[in-house]
Amino acid sequence: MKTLVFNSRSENDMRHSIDDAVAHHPLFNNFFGIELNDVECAQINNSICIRKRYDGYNRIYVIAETKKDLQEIIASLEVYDTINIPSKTDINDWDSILSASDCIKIATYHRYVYKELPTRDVPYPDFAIMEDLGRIHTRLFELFSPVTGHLPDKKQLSFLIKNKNILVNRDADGNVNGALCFTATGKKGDLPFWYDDNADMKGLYLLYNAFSIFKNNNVRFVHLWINDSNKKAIKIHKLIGAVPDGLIDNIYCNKNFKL
Amino acid sequence: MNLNEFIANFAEQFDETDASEINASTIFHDLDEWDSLIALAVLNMTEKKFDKKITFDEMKKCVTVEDLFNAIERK
Repeated sequence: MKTLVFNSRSENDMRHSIDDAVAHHPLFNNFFGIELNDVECAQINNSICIRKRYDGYNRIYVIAETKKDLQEIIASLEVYDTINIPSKTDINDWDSILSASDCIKIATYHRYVYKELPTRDVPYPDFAIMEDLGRIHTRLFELFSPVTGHLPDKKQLSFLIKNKNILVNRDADGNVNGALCFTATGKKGDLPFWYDDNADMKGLYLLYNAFSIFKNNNVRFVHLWINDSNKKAIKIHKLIGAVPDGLIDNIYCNKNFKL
Repeated sequence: MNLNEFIANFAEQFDETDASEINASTIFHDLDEWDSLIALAVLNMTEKKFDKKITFDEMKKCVTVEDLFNAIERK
């Protein structure tokens, strides 16, 4: 088994390496356009493995020309390496190679799409302010896994708050007890996270307000990812019109991985 | 739509609450299972089955199932 040797590369060099690997018509590719800052890259033949470091784990992206290259790359992964395989088709080859290297599937996310944005009259919520950052960050990491949930770090959260991308509900003391993040690029909207600690309907106000903002900004469709195990979220989004669009994210890690 | 028909449809939105627990005078906000998901399901049901639309705020002001029925009937 070859050992992967990772090197830091400039963003520009990374793009060249990716273009080169893609030009070889790879059989396996789970690279989906991440930011290329703070990444390292290893090469086997015409295949590359990109490692992006996060707090306590790494995400691995592979562009492999052959099954043998993929096997070698996967066999050399470390215990803190996690791998996402988004696909609209079966991933049997990936699955058998990952399983043979002691990797297990830890979550399955389906992407849902709203092609029509639902509307309903709801009281207007607040936007999060910088003082809310700590509370929102803590609660997100209590409720969701950073590995499977792609949670924002404090720097990203700060950026989202500054951009007015986070709607919140507050308790009587003014503390945030529900938050929803929404972002938009052109006609496409995204709902990166939503949590609600209220027993009543206030959490839904966040959702409908996000849709109102989307509509006011000419967003035509909205994507979101839902963990298959989150039955309540699936029910809510389906009730108001979201449908799975067929894209599934399969998340694997080493069986000994503990965050 | 009559009240009994509405109560039966309202009760159908719950997974764990027995239909026998729900009647015209039930204070629905106090039901253990009542949450945002059930609220949404009830609103959805009223729109699809009875072609009536009420707001969250109007629903919140209702106390009993009969209050909710009356609020919907006024639409």
